[in-house]
Order: sequence, then C-alpha cells, then structure tokens
Amino acid sequence: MFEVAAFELRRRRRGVVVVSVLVAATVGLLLGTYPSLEAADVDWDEILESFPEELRTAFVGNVDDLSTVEGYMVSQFYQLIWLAMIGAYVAYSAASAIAGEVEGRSIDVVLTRPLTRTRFVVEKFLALTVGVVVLDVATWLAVLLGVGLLGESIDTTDLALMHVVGGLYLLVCAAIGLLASVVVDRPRRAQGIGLGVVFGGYLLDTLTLDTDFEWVGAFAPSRYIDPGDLLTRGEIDPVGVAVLVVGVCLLVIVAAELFERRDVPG
Amino acid sequence: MSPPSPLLHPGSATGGRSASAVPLPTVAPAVTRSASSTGTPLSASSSTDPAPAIETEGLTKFYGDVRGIEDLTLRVPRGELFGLLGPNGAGKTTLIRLLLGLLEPTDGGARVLGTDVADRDAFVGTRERVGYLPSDTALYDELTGRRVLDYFAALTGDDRREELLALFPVPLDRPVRTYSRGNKQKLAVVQAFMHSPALVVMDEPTSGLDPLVQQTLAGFLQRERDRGVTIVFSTHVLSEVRGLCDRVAIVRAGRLVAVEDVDTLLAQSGKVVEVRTRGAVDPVDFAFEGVIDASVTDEGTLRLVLSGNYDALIDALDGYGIEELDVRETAVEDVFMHFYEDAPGDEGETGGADGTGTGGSGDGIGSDGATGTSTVDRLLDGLRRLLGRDGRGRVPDTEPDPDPDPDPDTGAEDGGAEDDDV
Repeated sequence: MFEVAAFELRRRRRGVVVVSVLVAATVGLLLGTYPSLEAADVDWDEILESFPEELRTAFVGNVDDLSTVEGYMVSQFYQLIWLAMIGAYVAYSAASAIAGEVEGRSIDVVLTRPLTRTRFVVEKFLALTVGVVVLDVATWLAVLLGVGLLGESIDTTDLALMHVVGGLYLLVCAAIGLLASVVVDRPRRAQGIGLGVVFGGYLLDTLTLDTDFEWVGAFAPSRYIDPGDLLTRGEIDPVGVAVLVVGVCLLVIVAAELFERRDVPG
Repeated sequence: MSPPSPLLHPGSATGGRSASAVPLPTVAPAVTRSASSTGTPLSASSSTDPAPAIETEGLTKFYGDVRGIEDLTLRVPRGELFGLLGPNGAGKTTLIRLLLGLLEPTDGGARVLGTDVADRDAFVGTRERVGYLPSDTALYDELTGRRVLDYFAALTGDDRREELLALFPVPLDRPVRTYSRGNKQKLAVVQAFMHSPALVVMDEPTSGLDPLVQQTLAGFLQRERDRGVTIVFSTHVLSEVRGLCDRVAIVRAGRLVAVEDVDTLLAQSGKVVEVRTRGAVDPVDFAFEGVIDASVTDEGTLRLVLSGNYDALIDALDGYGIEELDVRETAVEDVFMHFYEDAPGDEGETGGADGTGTGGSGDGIGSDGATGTSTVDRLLDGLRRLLGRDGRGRVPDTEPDPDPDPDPDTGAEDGGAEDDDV
C-alpha cells in the first residue's frame, strides 16, 4: 500500500536522524548556556530594548521576558532557528523529493508501473511528514530532557502546543518544497525555491509585520505561527492554525494535480 | 461487439503520412485527437484476438516549436520483436515516452495493449503488464541492488526475479553507485521483466553491455518473443536490427520513414560491388539493368548496388584496370544508410523516370533539384529505388534514358543535365 512512502523514508532516514541529532544538540547547547547567562545577571530588558523594533520580531520573537526558560528558548531557538532555519531546511530537503527522481531518471521506471501520479506525490509527502514528526518529537524530547537536567521547569502544556503548531508549520514548509519539486525539473532549482520561499518569506514577514506593508509578508508560513504566544503565554491562534492546515492540504493537492498533468521529460 | 483486429502481414508499410495505408480496426475509434479521456472505454480485445500491443494514430509531439515526432501511425501486433531505428534525436525516445504515458501528445493518440493511453484511469491498470527499460537509467545509487528490486517487487511483483538474476547477475548487496555501467543495465533489465509483462519497451537496451551479455540478452529477448511477449526496442545498432527484429520502423527527424520486415528488406537489396580501378572510373559505364544504385566515393571507388546481371557487370568492367574488386551481401548498413544520409537533393518527384541517382557520396553534388520535396519523400524514394520496387532496372546516370518513359517527368529539371553525383 505505501510502498513509495516506505521506500522514500528508507532513503531519507539517515538524513532525518542526523538532522534530528543536530537540532537536539543545538537545543542542548542553548539550554546549557542558560544557567550561566542567568547567573551573570544580564539585564535582559536592556538587551531586548537594544534590538531595533523591526528586527525584534525577527530575531527575538514576540516575548516580553527573556529571562524565563520559555522566553529564552523562544528568543534563542524557536523564533529564528525553528521558523527560519529549520523551516528552510525542511523545504530544501523536500524539494528534492520529486525533482531529484526526475533528474536522476529513476522516476521513469516508477511512473510506468501501475500507480497514479497523485498517489506518488501524496506518498512522497507522507514520507516527508514522518521525517518532520521525528524531528519535532526529537526536539521536544531534547528540550524536556535539557530542562530536566538543568533542574529548571518549563510549562509542558505550552511546550506541547509549541511543538504541535511548530510541527504543522514544518509540514507547510515541506509542502512548499514538494510543490517546488513538482514544478521544476532540477532539484537544485527546486531547493532554491523552497529555501527562498520559507527563509525569504520569514524575513519579509517579520520586517513588514505591524507596518503598512504587512500584506507583503502574508504568503510566508511564519506569519501564521507565533512561538512567543505559544510558549510563553500558552496562546494559540485558531485562525493561524487553520491557515496552516488549509495551506498544507492545498499545497499538496496542487502539487498532485500539477504532477498529473505535466510531462516527464527524458 | 468488436471485430478482431486484422493483424498486419509482415512487410506492409504503415508509415509516414499515408495514415490511411492500413485500415485500423473499427473497434478503435477511441484513438482520438484530444488527450482528454473521451471515455469510450471500448475494450479493444475481442474474444478471439487480443488487441495489438501498440497502436498509434497520427501521434504528434511538439516541444514548443521543436518537433519531437509528427503524425506517426504505427501498429505492433502481439508477440513481435519490433525495432525502432533512427539516428539520435530522431524521436525514438519521444515515441517511447508517449506510449508509456510519460509525455502527453500534442495531437493524435495511442493505445497500448488495447487501452487508450490518454485514459489515465484505465491506463494505470494496463501498466501492470508493461515493462520499461529507459535509456541511461539511474536507479537509486545509494541503495543496494536488492533493495531497489524489492521496491519494484512491492509495486508490481517479481515472479521471475530469480530466473532473471541467474541470466543477468549483479552484485545485489552492493550499492548501485558501485555498479559498472553493464551491471546497472542488467539490473534495469531485471526490473523490466521480473513481473512477467506482456509488453516490454526498451530504449537502447544493449548500450553499456559487453558483447557476451548482449548475446545473452538477445537470446533472452527472442525466447520471450517466442513465448508471446511483445518487445519494442529502439536502437541505432544496425546489426541488432538484423539479428533480432521481426520488423523495424525507421524514424528520422520525428517522422516515420518506413516500417519493414527486416528479412524482406534485405532480401530485396541485392549485393554491393566495390571496384577500385586504375584511373578514374566513369559511372556512366555501369548504367545497365540490375543496378539499383551507383556512386563514386571520395577515394574514387565505384560502389554499385546490384540485383544480379553479373554478365553486364563483367562487360562493364572490361576495359578498366581493376585494382580491387569486392562483391558482398548487402549489409544492413547499406540499406539503412539511405535513411541517414541527406539525399543530394535532386531525386525530383517520386516515381519519376528521370533516373537521377541517389546516395551520392562525397562526389561533387549537382544543383539541388528537389524543389519542394521533403526529406521524407526523398527518403521514401530512396527506399523504393533500393528495393527496385518500381519494377524497372533503374538507370542512375546522367544520360537520357533511351526508352522514353511513359511517366511525365514532372520535375523541374531534366534528368540528365545537372546530375553529376553518380
């Protein structure tokens, strides 16, 4: 039934494990420096103020208090690293899913077998989903472990919320990469598009937020998730979540439809 | 109710623009122009005869302005070893990819194993019975051969995997990227056949294989054919055509030039005589009956294609000092080179009796007389001449034909004047 998905996962599993370990290590590193920063009696408010207004969201996120674990993790990790870098990486990684097989010519002997192109696209996305879930859970566990080891405490509900919506966000990034992969034949170009849309989108989003040009950044998936709200205040934005959910579905459907209709050149 | 599809007898040409040359079975009106699923899901297989393995009608594919193939009408009955021959860029790969649903046609249609390729839902199921070996396959470098085959087995089954691996062994537990070209190709052959397809389409299957493996593959393909599997493969290795194919379609510049039974083609082609003389040789002396073609190479060797009449040859050679004389069977190369060379351009209208020569190789070519005839027409004309189909001994020289020819010479040029490539 899910042969394509299973096969894709097998091909990606090493990458997923490596990235998960790296991200977990990053979390560990960040959490590791937290106590010393706390002890150094840094004036967090001053640091916060020192960021120019426009860049504050981009680099620090929507937090008021950087001194709590939650505030610290949002500003150090969930905002820039998760949204911009990990999101961009997921899009980049997804972008080779189909374009890579087209360029590599391996797709020829798969598509001439009795499976529909839609199934092919959807199963590819399923494999990407599993990868995202693994990364998400690994990071979540790393935070819990790290915080536990530090002897600190973190609001577990809010953290779970962060990872559920954060995982959904990454799925959107994967879907963006997948769509790029379907539209473009060369994996490099698709990867560039995926990266550009997510990372570039992130910048446009954060720079235009609360300005007259807010609409410019509305295409960016990062617009619909707020780690600050999620982790430090436990607030969830239902509209944002709905947009993300609809976004994933729409992107995958469009990718499947486009792939049904296009030529697969030799 | 569907009448049985008339199988073609070998040797009937169904090519090029004469799409009406062979009546398509009335059961196949679903081969329509548009790519939308017209949904006339007529099962073309009747109770008595299965549908042809491949049927195309007016199949056309343009990439923007570039012609991939145009107006290609073809039928391949079941159980045939069918070759697609043509130079690079001729459109063989385009045709193959259209047949497999990888490309969508600009015009025309195709049926594979009785199913309209454009009917996506129906065609999915049909692909269970199709195997494909693309040219330059690359198959998941980082995985082992075994894993790759497992994947395909999960998708389509692998009843014959072991049997095929015995014939075409590969180092299954090493990653594919470590495979030699030959091993990669063998792996590709295994995946194409292991699910016992009824039709296998192969794009240049022997490239990358060493001669021994080529032989194994050739024998295997013939045994498959004998079992009733239809095999279509593209090649530009002429000896493969001769040794393997039942029939061959010649494709050039996106058009189907001819479809012929290989044995018939060669049987009608006569012998090739190559003469090197002391002093210059005048082709005019060799314009006797039985000469299908006469030309002089760059080095001054006279090359005749001759369907007998050796007495006249000996007479003609008298008076020349012969340095070298070579008489041999027409090779496939000789026959098909006609389709690869650019004709010198002065064959004029088809069937004309002006006797302009073909295949001028390297000698000073006369003025281009082929005003308005396309390459295809010239090539078809060349084929006819080669096969002596017009029933007369051709007179491929510059002198006026002593027998007034009943056919009006509709060409703009007189057959004698400017033809100096004989």
